[in-house]
Amino acid sequence: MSSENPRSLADFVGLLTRHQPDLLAYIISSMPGDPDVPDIIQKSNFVLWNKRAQFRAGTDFVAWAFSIARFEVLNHLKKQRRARTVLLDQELLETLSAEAREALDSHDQRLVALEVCLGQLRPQDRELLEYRYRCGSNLQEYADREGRSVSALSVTLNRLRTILRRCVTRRLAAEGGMA
Amino acid sequence: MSPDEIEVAIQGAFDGTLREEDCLRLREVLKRDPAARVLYFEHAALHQLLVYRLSRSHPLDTARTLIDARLKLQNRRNVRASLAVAAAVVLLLGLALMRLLAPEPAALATMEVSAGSRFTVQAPDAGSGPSPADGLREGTRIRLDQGSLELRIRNGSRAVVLAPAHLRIDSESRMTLYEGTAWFEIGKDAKGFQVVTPQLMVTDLGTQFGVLALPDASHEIHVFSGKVIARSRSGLKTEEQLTSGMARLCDPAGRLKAVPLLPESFLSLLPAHPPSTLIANGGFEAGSPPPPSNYGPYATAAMLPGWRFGSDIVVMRATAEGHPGYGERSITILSSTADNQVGFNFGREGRPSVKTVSLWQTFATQPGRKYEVHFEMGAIFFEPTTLEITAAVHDGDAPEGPPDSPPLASQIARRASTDSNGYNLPVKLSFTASSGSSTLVFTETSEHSLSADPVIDNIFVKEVP
Repeated sequence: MSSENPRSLADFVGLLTRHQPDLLAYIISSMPGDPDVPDIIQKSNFVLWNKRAQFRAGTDFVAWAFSIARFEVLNHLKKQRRARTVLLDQELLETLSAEAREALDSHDQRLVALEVCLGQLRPQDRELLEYRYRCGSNLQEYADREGRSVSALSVTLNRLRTILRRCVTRRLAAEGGMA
Repeated sequence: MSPDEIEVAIQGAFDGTLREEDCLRLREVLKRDPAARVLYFEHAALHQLLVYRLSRSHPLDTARTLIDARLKLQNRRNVRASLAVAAAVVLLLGLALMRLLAPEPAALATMEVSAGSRFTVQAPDAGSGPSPADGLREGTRIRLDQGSLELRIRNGSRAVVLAPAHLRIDSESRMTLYEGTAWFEIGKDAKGFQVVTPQLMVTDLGTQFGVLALPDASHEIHVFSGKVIARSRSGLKTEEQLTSGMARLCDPAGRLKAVPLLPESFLSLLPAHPPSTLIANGGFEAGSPPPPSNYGPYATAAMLPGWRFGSDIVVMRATAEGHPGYGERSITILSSTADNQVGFNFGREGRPSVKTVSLWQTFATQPGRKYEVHFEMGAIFFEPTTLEITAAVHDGDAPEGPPDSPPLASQIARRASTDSNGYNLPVKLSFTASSGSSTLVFTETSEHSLSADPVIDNIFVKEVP
């Protein structure tokens, strides 16, 4: 039977759950466009859980979690590179990993800001975004239904995301949410 | 690259649509330009937020988020606890629709499961007192990994729960649904019955309603008759009385937002299964009928009871125009039974992860006995290519997805565009079981299927001499 202290176990569970969005954002940034992101976060969580005894309370949990996820990403990208060109080579992955801790902070504030920014979009624009993030990046069916071309929809999507990014960034800056 | 070009390229990267030459150019820009990396991280964060916020119909396609992670951890602890107190835990593989827990006068609830369901029942004070076999008591936790179950509560209420699900019977008048899809019919004498999810509290005022508490998604309440009071449990803690035909989603800020009523997301009765096959719902007819849609709606627990499946699996009966079969407009294919078919609708370039394009089910076997799997495979083409479905049988259960282990047996079914749209002759796969359970997995393994989909139907498994 395990002799783990229930309180420290609860603390660890709290850290792991609280920082899931940060971990997900890190993995997404490390393997953009890769459908295996869910598998990698699951593997990372599994390793984090198994290595929980190595985590020292009071130290930077997110940095520790990112460093463990980095190994899972590296292993995955190694296999992917044999099959196709991936955006992040080893050098770029290291550069981004070094900056990710600071750059991907403020998840909760971002979520609140996004909610406000989404509310400012026109219904048809929001519908397109919902389709994209509900049904994946293939826009053909939506294009057929709306009588528009896929390339026109892609341009609109890019414009909407740029608007949302700027809106979220502005709101965070205004509220002092950014470090 | 100009700043605008960089931003478009970054978005293409996260969409998985970036061309190779642009990929190489963006890589070099990111290496040398710190401002481009800031932009890159902003889009990574935005992508994560949009996936979390907008993909509520595709919970399986998104990565684990906070609630799911907590549940995973709880579940792991439960499993460990279950092993430690095996005497108090029932772990069963259903062979037929059966009553598991005999109604006892003192029991708070009884339970039935559908064929092929896999679940654990954990008594609240494991190790002392009566076992779960004496009936479900206050504090009993149920985890349903595959299939469906029906709970009958002493007060006359009934719930039909679809996997994956995790719930606790708190009392005669309250249930906590940590995760799952559940339909409720509340007894006349049980007004005030509460269903609590991590995001929502629903108080019944005499009604039938459904609750969707799926990981990575905003929880939902759908009212089919009568009235309920719905209240969000965090953020703004909004409260609203809902009547028949209304449905609400609990957004991250705690607001209740109107969404379409989706009766097809729930089952009000356990699916029935013919006894002639060891596999549950092998014809894909036992669940909610899929609404007419070209290339089918993505599968939900209610549409595919008995099966576990990835996010690119669809169930289809007719096109949006009502034309029977799998496909679009009047271009469709039909299996031998001309009814529901399951499609592997992978709509992105590149090879998908195995889990998203797989359909799998664990069923009871006996070590050393021989079995045969039969299934039909077809394909519809809008480009010249060859499609393939790999059917494999693995030893044991597969709670987390298709196993990596070598299969006991496997068979690839192929159809090329030169064969035209349609179905192959039925495929047979034989295997000898190694243990008390085996998992049948169907995976699309085509190299290229952007404008072509393979489909399957009429799966059955039988023991052979």
